[in-house]
This record gives sequence, structure tokens and C-alpha cells, in this order.
Amino acid sequence: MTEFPTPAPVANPPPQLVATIHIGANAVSMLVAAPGEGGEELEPVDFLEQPVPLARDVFRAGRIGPAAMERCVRIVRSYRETLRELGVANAKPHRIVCTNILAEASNQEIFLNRLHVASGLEVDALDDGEQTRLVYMKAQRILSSDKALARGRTLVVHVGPGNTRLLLFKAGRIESYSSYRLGSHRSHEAVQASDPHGEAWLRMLAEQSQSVTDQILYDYGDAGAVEMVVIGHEMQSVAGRMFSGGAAALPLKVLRQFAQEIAGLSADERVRRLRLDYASADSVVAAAQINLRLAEGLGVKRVIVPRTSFEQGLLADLPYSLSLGARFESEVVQSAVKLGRRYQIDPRHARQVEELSLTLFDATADLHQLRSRDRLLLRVAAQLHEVGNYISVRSHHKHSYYIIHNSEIFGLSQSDIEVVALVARYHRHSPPKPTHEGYAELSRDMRMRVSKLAAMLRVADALDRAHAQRARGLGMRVERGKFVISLPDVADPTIERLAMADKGDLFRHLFGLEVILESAIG
Amino acid sequence: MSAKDKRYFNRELSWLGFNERVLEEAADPALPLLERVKFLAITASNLDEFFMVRVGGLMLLRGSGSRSRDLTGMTPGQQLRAVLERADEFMKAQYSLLNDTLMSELEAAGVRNVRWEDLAPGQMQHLERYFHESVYPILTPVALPGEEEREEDGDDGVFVPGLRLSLACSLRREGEEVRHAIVPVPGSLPRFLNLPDSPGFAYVTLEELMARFLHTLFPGEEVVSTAVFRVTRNGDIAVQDEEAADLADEMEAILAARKTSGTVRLEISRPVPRELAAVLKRVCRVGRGVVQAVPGLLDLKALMGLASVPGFDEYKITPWPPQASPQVDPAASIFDVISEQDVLLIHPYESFDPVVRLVEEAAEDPDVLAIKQILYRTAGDSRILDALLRAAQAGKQVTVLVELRARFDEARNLDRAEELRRAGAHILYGVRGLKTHAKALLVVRNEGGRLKRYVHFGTGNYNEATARLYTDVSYLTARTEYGADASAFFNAVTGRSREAPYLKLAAAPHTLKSRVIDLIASETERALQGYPARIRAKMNSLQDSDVIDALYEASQAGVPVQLNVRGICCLSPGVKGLSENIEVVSVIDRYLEHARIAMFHQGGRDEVYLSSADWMVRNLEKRIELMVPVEDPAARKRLVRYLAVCFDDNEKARILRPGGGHERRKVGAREKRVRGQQVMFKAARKAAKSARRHLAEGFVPHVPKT
Repeated sequence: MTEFPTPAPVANPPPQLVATIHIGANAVSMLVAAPGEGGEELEPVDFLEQPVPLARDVFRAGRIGPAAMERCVRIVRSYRETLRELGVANAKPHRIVCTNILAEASNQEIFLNRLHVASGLEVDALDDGEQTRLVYMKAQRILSSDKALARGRTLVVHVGPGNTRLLLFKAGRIESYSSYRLGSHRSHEAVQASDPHGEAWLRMLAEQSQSVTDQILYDYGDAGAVEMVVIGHEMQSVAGRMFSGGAAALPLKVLRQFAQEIAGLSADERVRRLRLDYASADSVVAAAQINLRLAEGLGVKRVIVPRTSFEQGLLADLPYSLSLGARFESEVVQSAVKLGRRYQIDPRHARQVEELSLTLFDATADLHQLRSRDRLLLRVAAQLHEVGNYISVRSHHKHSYYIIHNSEIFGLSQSDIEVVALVARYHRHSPPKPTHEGYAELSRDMRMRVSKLAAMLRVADALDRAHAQRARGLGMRVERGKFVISLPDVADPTIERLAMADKGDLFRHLFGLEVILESAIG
Repeated sequence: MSAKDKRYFNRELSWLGFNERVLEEAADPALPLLERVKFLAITASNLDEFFMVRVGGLMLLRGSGSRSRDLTGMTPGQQLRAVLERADEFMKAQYSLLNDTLMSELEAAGVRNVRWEDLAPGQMQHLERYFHESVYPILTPVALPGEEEREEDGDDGVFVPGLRLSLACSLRREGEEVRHAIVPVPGSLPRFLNLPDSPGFAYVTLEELMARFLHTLFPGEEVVSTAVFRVTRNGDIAVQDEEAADLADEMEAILAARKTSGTVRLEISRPVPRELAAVLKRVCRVGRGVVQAVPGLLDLKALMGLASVPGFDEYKITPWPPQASPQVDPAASIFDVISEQDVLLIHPYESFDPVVRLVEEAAEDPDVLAIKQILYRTAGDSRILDALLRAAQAGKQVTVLVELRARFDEARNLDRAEELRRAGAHILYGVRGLKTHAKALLVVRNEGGRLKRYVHFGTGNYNEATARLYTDVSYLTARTEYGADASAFFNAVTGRSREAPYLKLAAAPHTLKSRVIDLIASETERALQGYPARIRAKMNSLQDSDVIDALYEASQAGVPVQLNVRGICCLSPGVKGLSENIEVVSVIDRYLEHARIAMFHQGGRDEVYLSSADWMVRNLEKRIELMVPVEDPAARKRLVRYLAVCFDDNEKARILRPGGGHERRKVGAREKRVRGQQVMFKAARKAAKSARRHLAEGFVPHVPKT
């Protein structure tokens, strides 16, 4: 008898879905997206949002209360149910992140652990750097959808729950960037205790935020911004609802009327009329007021509010915001270049060291095993290593450290900036020591990164010791315990050799390779 | 009458008008006899609910001293007076029809009520045995306490169940005072007892049998007098039909605050023994309720039992069996069918089966990940529930929102829901504060790594039984936006998410009403600017004054407005300067008109929407409802044609007159007679037949010629 094998059933691959969850200031939201018909672009499949007053806890009590914590747990669990229903493997989202205002909660660690234990998911706390990248991505999208905005001088203002970011674009590139401790929830919580209403409410908000708004107006008052684009959860949520006709561009008069009108409503009326959760129905007043004040101060005639959902956009960007696009990287470097210019560094030297560092980084990839993000930090450190000269040439590496440490660089988080500052500090003199300020507080992993990057920066700096950009077209190879750099264009590399004797130490100690300079002619 | 009074009609009186139109059908000699009996039973059932809910509510309002006026400016007291007066007239008409016409016609047809005196000895024996074996064991007589045994406030402490027939009797024992007892008529036994050895259907009623043998319950006592009675209470929200189940805000609050429900109506069949009547008024705590002496059979909805006696086909209507939709290939997977094109079904002309199939195939299909459904009212033996159970057992994600209402026959469904829960389904019992009336079904399927969603939206419940009796519309689609909207809708009603803005749908209580009003206003605006405009809509009831006002404005702007409103209509059509461009038609025919469809001309695009919602305050503001635009051109065209048929009807359609009151369309001698429901049935049958032929042709082989 012949037996016919039954064909194995063709397994249906699980649906291709990308889910992201954001534990935000006023809500926990989830977006599930799938690749669209034929295209690579992700299209939304499901969007879920449930209010939780986290910002209220953070700014009022400095910690997340048990009720909000458990509510978050319940919501995340129910979202996993949704993922299970959609056939997502292990009901696991691609990413789950929480807002960076959580950093201000004394029990952030407990909160993240609780979520981990209860939901089995590791929650990333968004750092400022990623937050900035998310705002940048959104701004880029808006600019690319409108030629006039992309061509002109456009100021993008994001009043977030705790921080406000301003990005000034000129012809689509970042002209300047800064972030301030001013936010819709932060401001609201500061004034809410007196239960203000109407005009008085707006006045109190204005007074409360005056010092920061004055600073912003000082920083951007002469920026010559032609258009102001307002983004943010509150303003984008109400954009479609508050302004009839769906005009994206609002004359200031309309914005002013809107602020006055909603400040005069009761919380319930705002919730009903604006279709917001209670937390956002409060913070929307602060958001409107802050944006209005900035627009007035900057002298723009109107503001542009996109009618898309801020939250959905953020969730859609989360799968991409971890990796840096080339365009974004160049904006970061650009921001560093501007900072360097402010401290009157030698731009050609900075540029040369940056290029040499990168050549070195790429040539030694197998040795250092660092990631592309470290490459960016090295670039920035190379650009800025000499800013300390502005204060004094003596011990300028230490001045560099604290200048960078206290500066803002677009797209970099606080911990990124710390790395950059330390790498710059170690471009000369003493190698890292556990007693050094800043370095002492780092984890072992972070210390390693700083050391490796500093080692490369020192070698690169030595190669341009003459500040004459002589080292070009370098060749690099590892040869019997030696790292040989050939300088085809340099006839007499004595200066560089002397410098390398001084600065090659860290490289030698870390990688076990002596740096040898080889002159093509010699 | 002031101008304000003319602007709207009172909803209660409008509803009574609807029931009068149903009674017209019962009185129509052109209809088969048992169909007429059925219509009479329906009017009685309707009226019961009306008393329970609406009259009960008005009594509560009046009792609470409320002076709040309705749209027409009437106080609760004024409404109550008008309503009771008209209901009284109505009841007289019901009994006159029954006693003077239908009973004798029934007798002529062989459905005979045999007088006790005329029973043959064999029949008598049969009844005696039946009483002792089947009736006696389940009787529970309740003796009424004597004067001295009663509570201080005169309360008897006896509870007489609402809406059920009971017997009351006076009993006397020699040398003792007369006492009284109540014996409820068992609801579990047939009301009309078929007699043996008799042609046709000869019967005596259960209450008569009980009355005749009452003495066996009280040995040694003489039964002096008996009476059959029935009490109706408010707050007995065991309501049969959703149409009557709504309450005005105020009533709802008052009802909720009251545990005990007062008596609205006491019916006693004639002749009423005087003494017993007084006792019953006391026992039933009638208070300010209505006492009616009923000239004949009590509780006429029981006539449904007579209307459906087996046989007698010549006295019944020819059935119009639901037809297979030509869009749905019975051999193909329902998923393929829906993927290929949107499917529109017009029930009951077209079978509800594809909707049931969608759930059944989803339950079996290995690629289906999740099924979500709203169940408002299911059939007693629901294939849909069976399928959901199988799906849950097969490990699929099943989410069912069961809207709970206090109905006895839903206890079974509750058990099924519990069974579903145990099988792993996610069961929710409604949404707090809002009744979930939307009809939606979502099936999520993994098709080779791509998620695909299939959706059903309907105007009627997922109930295979009523889908054969109510006109409703089903829309099945796999369009992405509808899938996304359905998903968002279920996320909202299951509490997974705040309600996000929908791409296509409008949902009550947040956006549906404003969308309707915007659409009406848009027609108004177009008309004012000289563009062609038109509104056509079909619904069960029209009562929301904001919507009515928007329609008045449309009329004044010159928009022709045609409304097919089966039941309550508070809009006053054809009034000069107010609504002269509005025409309102009500169709009462074999099937209960139940579909909610609206068409807006929109400059020629003829946008068509179907909805679970009537244009009433309760639907638009206090319920979760959906309104769905029908985008598929073929489906839209069919609905436009369907709406046209609803207004072409000149047999079963009644036109609402400007001053109120409906009248039949006058048909000229040469005019073609059109009966909408028949037109729809014939069209469905023809389409099904041609589809069958088409299918059969596919299998006819070509034989070579010799």
C-alpha cells in the first residue's frame, strides 16, 4: 500500500505589527501599526489612549502615587490583551517608554520596577536627547509638508508637560535650539492650588512663567522668525475642535480669545467641549497661555498648529527615534559647531581633529567595539575640546569640561553631554582617574566608553599638533603590537611624534598598541 | 391653539396614533383572518408596555408634582388626561373589533370558543382530568386577610404579580364572614385549551376552566362570585419591545429612586362583581391608577396563540421566505466574498444568514485571531452565541458586550454569557450610564502576515428570529477605515481606550447628533445657494426637537424632505411657513419597519447612512449608537432605491396630516398600486432566482452535437 504523506499545513506567519506604548504626562497610549499595502511606510492599525494623571502626581507631590501607578499597570496589561488579540508574538510591544518628566519623580525607579514586575515589560525612560529627537522628527515632518515653512525661518515651539523646546529652522536646517524648564503641567500645577479662574488664571500663569518666557524671548527675540509652529499634545488635540473652518494658521487674536474663553470655563465644560481628559483640560490653559505669550513677544502675526495627533505621531516615531539619521547627526554636530564658535575656537583645527578622530574610530572599530552613537559623541567632543581656551589656556581642558557640562547641545541627553565633556577634558594631560569629578560618578561601562573615546581624541589631537592640518590621506594598520599611522603628505612629522609621545599613552594602555607615525617620505 | 402648540406633536399621543394604525390592519377585511388576529394581539402587547412605561412614568411625574412641560407645552397631568382618554377609546375599539367581528369570523373559520354548557360529556371529562392533573398541582391560592388581620394602614400584605391574569373570588362558609382569595392563572400553561372530538380548533380558556373548578381549592366553602383581573404596574421594566423602554430623564430618576412600583391599571373582566372590585382595588393598591371593566377576553396579546394555531393556512398570509443574497456565493468563504466587495443585505427580504455565517466561519477559521461583538438582544436559540462559544473554546480572543436588560427570557442568554466567560471569552455587561444600542461585529484575521478586519454594521439586533420579522439593513465590509473605526469603537466601549475620533463613523452620544444636524444644515445651505438639495430618511421614531428644528429650517429653505417614520413623530409636516416641504409617511405592514437609513443629496453625491439610532433624544444623547456612511456605490444605489420604494407605497403607507393624524394615500383608479414590502420581497426573490440560474448554468456541460 502506498502511503501519501499529508502535506504539512502551511504556517501562517504572525501578523507584521509594530506596537509602541507611551506612558505620558496625562495618559498611557499605544499605537499598533503595520506596513501599508506594498509600501515600507507603517500605517496605524489601532490607537488606544487612557488618561492617567501622572504629571499631576509628579509636579504636585514629586512622586507617583499608588493609585496612578496601579492604573498604569492595569492599562499596560489591558494593552497587552489588545496585542494578544492582534496576534502579536508574546503580546510584546516593540517599545514601551515613559515620559522624561518621570525623572523628576523621587520614585521613578520603583515605578519602572513595578511596571516591569506587573507587566513583564522593560520600560525605557525617554531621555532629553530622545525627546528632542522626537520633537525634531515631528518638526521635520511639518516642514517637509509645507514648502514655505521649509524655505523660510521657522520657529517650532513645543510646550511639553515639563519642558519647552524651541527649534529655529532656517531653510530646513536647525539654526538654534534650546530647552527650558517650562511646561503646561508644570505651570498648571504651580498655580492650581489657588483654584484660579478666568482672567486671573491667565495672569497667574503669566506671572509664574515670566522669568522663563523672558529668557526665551531674550534668546529668540532677534531670531527673525517669520513663522511660529506650535506643536504639543494639548494644542494639537484642540486644533481641530476649537478653530472652526479647520484653518491651521491662527491669527493671534483667535488664540487669545481661545485662551480667555477656556480659562473661563469649568473643568467639566472644558472636558466636554474640547473632548479632553481632565488633566489635559487643565494643562491646555497653560499651554495656550505660554504659546500666546511667546507669539506675542516674538512679534509673529499668527501661529500654525498642525491638526494631526501629537501623541499618535510620537508613538509612530518611537521605533525610529533610537537610531540617529544622518540628517539628525549633522544637526547635532552643527549645534556643537555653533557652540564652539561662541567660545572662539580655531574652527579649522576643530574640523581637522573631528575628521582625524572619525578616521581613527572607523579604522579601529574591531578594537573598540563602540556603537554609532559613540561616534557621534566623539565628533562633538572633537569639535569642542578646546572651548576651555576661552577662559584660559592654562588648564583649558578643565574649563572645556565645565563649559560643555553646562551647555546644551541639540539632540544630546544630559548623559551624552557628560560623556562629551569628559572626553574633551581628557584630550590632554592626565588620563581618566577614578578621583576626577564627573568620571567618579560613572558606571564601569560608561568609564570605558569615555576612556576609549578620549584615547582616540588624544591621538587625533596629536596629529594636528601644529594646527596646520598637515595630516591628510592617512593610512592606518595594526602591525605586531603597533598601530601604524602613515602620513603621506607630511615630510617631517617631528612635531606630531613629540605630541604623540605625550598623548598616545591612553591608546597604548587601553588597546595595547604603540602609536607609530610613519612618514611617507621618511 | 398657539403657534407653539402647532410646532410639535406630543410623543405619547403620536405613539397612540401608531398603535391605532396597527389596529387598522387588524380591522382590514382584506387581510387574512389570523393575520388580523395577530395584529390585534400586537396592539394589546404594545398597549401593555405603553401603560407600564409611559403612562406609569407620567403618573410618577404628576405624583411628584412636576410641572415640566413637553415639547407641545403640556404638563404631565394634561398629558395623562389626554392619553388616558385616547387609550380608553382605543380599548373600546379593540374590543368592539374582537367581539363584533373577529370572534364570529373565527367561529365561522372553525376557531370556536365553546360555551361551558355546550361541552360534550367526553370533553367535560377531558377538561376535568386536565384540571386535576395539570392545573391543580401548580395553583397557589392566596387568601386575603380579614379586616382585623390587616396592617394598621390597611395593607393586605399580598403581592399580586404584574401583567398576569388572576382570578379573584368571594368565599362563604356557613355561619362565617365572607372571605376573599386570589388565584394567579399559571403562565406556563396554554391559554386556549383545545378540546378533543371537535373539528377545527374548539377551545375553552384556562381562566374559565379554573373558575369552574375553583371550589375544589376551597373545600367546604361556597364560591359566591369570581372575577378575572390583571394589574399593570409601572417600573415593571420587563419590557418586551425596545420602542417602549425609554423613559424621560426625570422619570428614570424617579423610577430608580423607588423600589416599589405603583399600580397604573387594574383590568377586570365584565361583569364585575361590585364587592370584589372594591376588594381588588384595595389589594392591588390602585390609588390613582385606572380601573377598567373589560368587555371580554382579558390580555389580548394571548391571541397570538390563536393566530398561530396549526393548520388554517387559508386564514394565514402566504409566507415570504427570506431569499439568499445574490452577492453571497454559498460555496465561497464569506471572507472572500466580503473581501471582494461590500455586501449589503436588506432584511427580512434577504436572509440574515451571511451575518451568522461570518461569526460561524470566524469561529472555525484558524486564521481568525479575534471576534468582537455587541449583543443587544439575541434569539432564544442563538446560532451566533453558539459560534462565539466555539470560537472561545478554540482559543480565539472573543469579546462580547452583552447589554443587560431585565427581561425574563434573557435569563437564558445570561447563562450563555456565563458559559462564554468560562470558555475564556471577555464578557462585558454594557457601559455605565449608557445603553449600548449600536450593532457592530468585528472579526480580525491574519492573512499571511497581514492583519485584515471584517466588519458588520446593522440597524437591527443580532437576533435570527427578529431578522425574519423586522425590516433591517446589514452592511458587511472589509474596508480598512471601517475596520479601524470598528476597532476603535470596541476599544472605547470595552474601556480599553478613550473614544478617539473616527475616520468614517459617527457615534452617539458624542458625534452622531451633531453629524445629523450638520448634514441637514448642509442641505439647507445648498438650497439657499440655489443648489439642488434633498433629504430622505427612514426611522422608527422622530422626537428630538433639535433635529426637528433643523428639518424645519431645511424645509423653509426649500429642501424637499421625505420622512418614513413608522411610530412616534413629533414633527408637524406640511405646515405653511414651517414645514410645507416635509412629507411624513408611516408604513404598517406584515413586517415591522425597523431600518434606520438616511440619504442626503449633497450636491448629487447622494450620501447614504445607516444607523442603529432613531432621531430621538434617548438615542442621540443617552445611548451608544453608530451611524455608518455607506460608501460602496452599488450598496448606496440599492439603498437609495429602497428608500424610494418606501415612499412609493400607496397600500400600506399612511400620510401624516398637517394637524396630526394619519390617513391612507388616495389612489386614483388608474394609478398603479404599490405595496413596498411586497415590491422588496419580489425583487429579492427575482434576484435570488437569477443568481441561482446563473449558478446552475455554470454546471451545465456542453454536449457535442451528433
